[in-house]
Amino acid sequence: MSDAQLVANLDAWLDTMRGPDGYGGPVVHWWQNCLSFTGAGLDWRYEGIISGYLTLWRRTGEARWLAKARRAGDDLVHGQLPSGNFRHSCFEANPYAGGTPHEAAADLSLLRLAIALREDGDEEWGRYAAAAENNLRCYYIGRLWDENAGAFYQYPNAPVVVPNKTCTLAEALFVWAALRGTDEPIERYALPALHAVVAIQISGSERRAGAIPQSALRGVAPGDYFPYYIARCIPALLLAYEYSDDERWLASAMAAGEFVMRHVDETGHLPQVLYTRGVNRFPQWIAPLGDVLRALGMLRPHGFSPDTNGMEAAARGGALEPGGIATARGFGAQIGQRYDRDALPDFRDNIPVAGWADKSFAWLAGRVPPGQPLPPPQTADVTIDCTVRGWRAQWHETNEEMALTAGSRALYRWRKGEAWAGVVAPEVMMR
Amino acid sequence: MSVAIDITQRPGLAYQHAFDWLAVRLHSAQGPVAYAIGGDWHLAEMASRLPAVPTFGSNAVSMTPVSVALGLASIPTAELTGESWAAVGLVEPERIEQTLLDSIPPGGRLYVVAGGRLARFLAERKAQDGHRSMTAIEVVAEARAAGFRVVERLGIHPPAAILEHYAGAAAMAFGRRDARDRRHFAMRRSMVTGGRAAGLSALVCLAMERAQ
Repeated sequence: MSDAQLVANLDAWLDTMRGPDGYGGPVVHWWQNCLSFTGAGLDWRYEGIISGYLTLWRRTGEARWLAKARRAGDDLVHGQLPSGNFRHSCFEANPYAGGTPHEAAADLSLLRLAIALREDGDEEWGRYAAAAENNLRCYYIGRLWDENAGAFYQYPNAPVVVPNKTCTLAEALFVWAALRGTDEPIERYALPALHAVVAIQISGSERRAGAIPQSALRGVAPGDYFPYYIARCIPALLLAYEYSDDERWLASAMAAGEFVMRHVDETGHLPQVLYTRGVNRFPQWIAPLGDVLRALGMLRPHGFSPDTNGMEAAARGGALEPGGIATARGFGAQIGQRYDRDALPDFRDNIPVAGWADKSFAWLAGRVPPGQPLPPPQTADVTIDCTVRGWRAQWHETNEEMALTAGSRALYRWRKGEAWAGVVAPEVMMR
Repeated sequence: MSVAIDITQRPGLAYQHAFDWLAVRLHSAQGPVAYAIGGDWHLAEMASRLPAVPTFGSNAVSMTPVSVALGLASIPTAELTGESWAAVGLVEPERIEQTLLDSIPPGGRLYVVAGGRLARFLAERKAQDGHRSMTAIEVVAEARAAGFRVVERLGIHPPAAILEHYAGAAAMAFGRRDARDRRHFAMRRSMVTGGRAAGLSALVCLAMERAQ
C-alpha cells in the first residue's frame, strides 16, 4: 500500500474518532492505560494531527486540509480552561488537565496553525496563537519554570526535569519566537532548558553513549533510557543548532540519533526502555515509530544517513483495515518480558490510538508526493483474535465502535464519539 | 486535598479507578441519573467526568470555584422531590437517605463507592478531617433492607496489588529498576478484583439493583 493510501486511510479513520469536543478513543501506553474515558483528549495527539494536515495542505495545495487543521485547532481553543490548561490533556492518565508534554505539544500545533493561517491571509490566526500563548505563559512559565534552575519541571512544585517534555516545550518556544519575531522565548527559556537536557546526556564510548535519561531530579538521573523519548528530543536540539550555529547542539542530536539506531532490532522495532542494569523490551511501539522516523529524517541534511527501512516497514506494517495503525506488539509481555511472536496478541496491541496514530500520520503526510491529491480511502471493518490476561478474545473495530468480546460476553465496548465506554468489564479495568 | 481548585492535581490510582467505574456505569444507564458526593474534593472528579449529570443538593462548599476551574457554566443540581432515577451514584456516603432509596424504582440501580478494609491507608482518607463515611458492609446492609440486591462487587487496590508494590520496592533495593517496573505493572494489573478479596481492598465498588 502506498504512503498516500495509508495517509488517506488514516485521515478517514481520524474522522471516525471525532466526538463533539474533538478526537477521542481509548489509550494504551507503557505508563498506564485509559480505556474507560474515551472523550476528546486535548493532548499531544493534536501535534501530529495538525502537523499532518498542514503538511498535506502544503504538499497538495488543497484547502480542505487546512480546514481540518483549523477544526482541530478549534477543539483546543474551545477546550481551554480559565487556568490556561487544556481540558483532558493527560492522555493515558485522562480525564485530567495539566498534562506534560501534552499541553506543550498542543501549543506547538496551535502555533504552527497560526503561522499557516497568517501565511494564508486568514485574520483569525491570532485566536490560535493567543490560546497557545495563554497556556505557555500561565502554565509552563507561570507554574513549571524555575528561574534559578533554568529548567521546566514535570509538575508544579516537583523539581523533576523530563528531557523529552522539555524538548517538546522548547519546540513550541522556538515556533512562538518565530511567530512573534522575538528571541526572548528562546534566549530566556528554551536554551537554558535545553542546556539542562544536554548536561545529563550520556557521553563517551559506552553502549549508552548518546542516550538521554528519561528524567532527572536536581540533575541526578535514575538511569532509565527510552529510545522513543530520546528520538523526540532530536527536533528541539536541531532547532537550537540552527538558531545558534553552536555545533554542540548538533553533536547532541546526532549522538541521540546514533543511540536510537544502535538499538533497532532485526524486526525494525525498538526496545521500550533500557536501564543502567537490564532492559524491558516490550511492548515495542509501532504507530509511534512515525515520530522516530520523522526525527531521524531531520538529521539526514546534517549527514546522518541510517538505514531505516526495517523501521519504516514495521510502522507501515501496523496499518489496520479501519485505517488506524496498531499501537505496539508485546503488551502482554510487559510484566514477564517473554514475547512469542507466533502467539495471539494482547488486545491492547491492536488498539489504534489517536495519540499514537497521529505520529505515523505526521510522518507519512511528509511522504505524500507533492502536487498530487490523495487517493480515496480504502477502509473496512476488522476482527482480530487476541488475548485478555491470557484468555482468548476478539477485538472488533468498525467506523462506529470498538469492542472486545470473549465468546458471547462483552468485555469492552466504545461507541465512537461518546465520552465514556459503555462496557468496561473488570478484566479490562487496567489503568 | 486541593483537588477541587487545582485542576492539575489528581487523586491516587484507587480513586481514579473508582471514579471511572462510576462514570462508566452512570453514562451507560438508560434514563435519568444523578450522583451525591461525600466530600468536597469528589465534586471536581465527578463534574469533570460527567458535567451534564446533576448532583443532589451537594454539601460541597466549592460548587462555584469547581465549576469555574473546570470551565463549566455551572454544575447541575437535583433535589429528591418525587423524581425517580434510573441510576444513582454515591461516593463515600456518610449515610443513605431513605428518600434517595425510594427515588430508585424497581430495576433501577444504586452505585456506591465505599471504603473497604484497607481504606485507612489511602492518602485521601488520611487527609479527611472528621468525615466518617459508611463502609461497604454498612452500605450493603442498608440497601438490602430497602430491597436492593448486589449485582456487582469490585475491590480496588486489594492486598495482591499491595504485595506487588512491595515486591517492586524490594527489587529497587537491589538496584533492579527494570524488575521494579515489572512489579509496578503487575501491581496495576492487580488493582481490580472480585470475589472475597473485594472486601479486603481499599475501596469497594458496589452495583445494587432494586428488586422488581
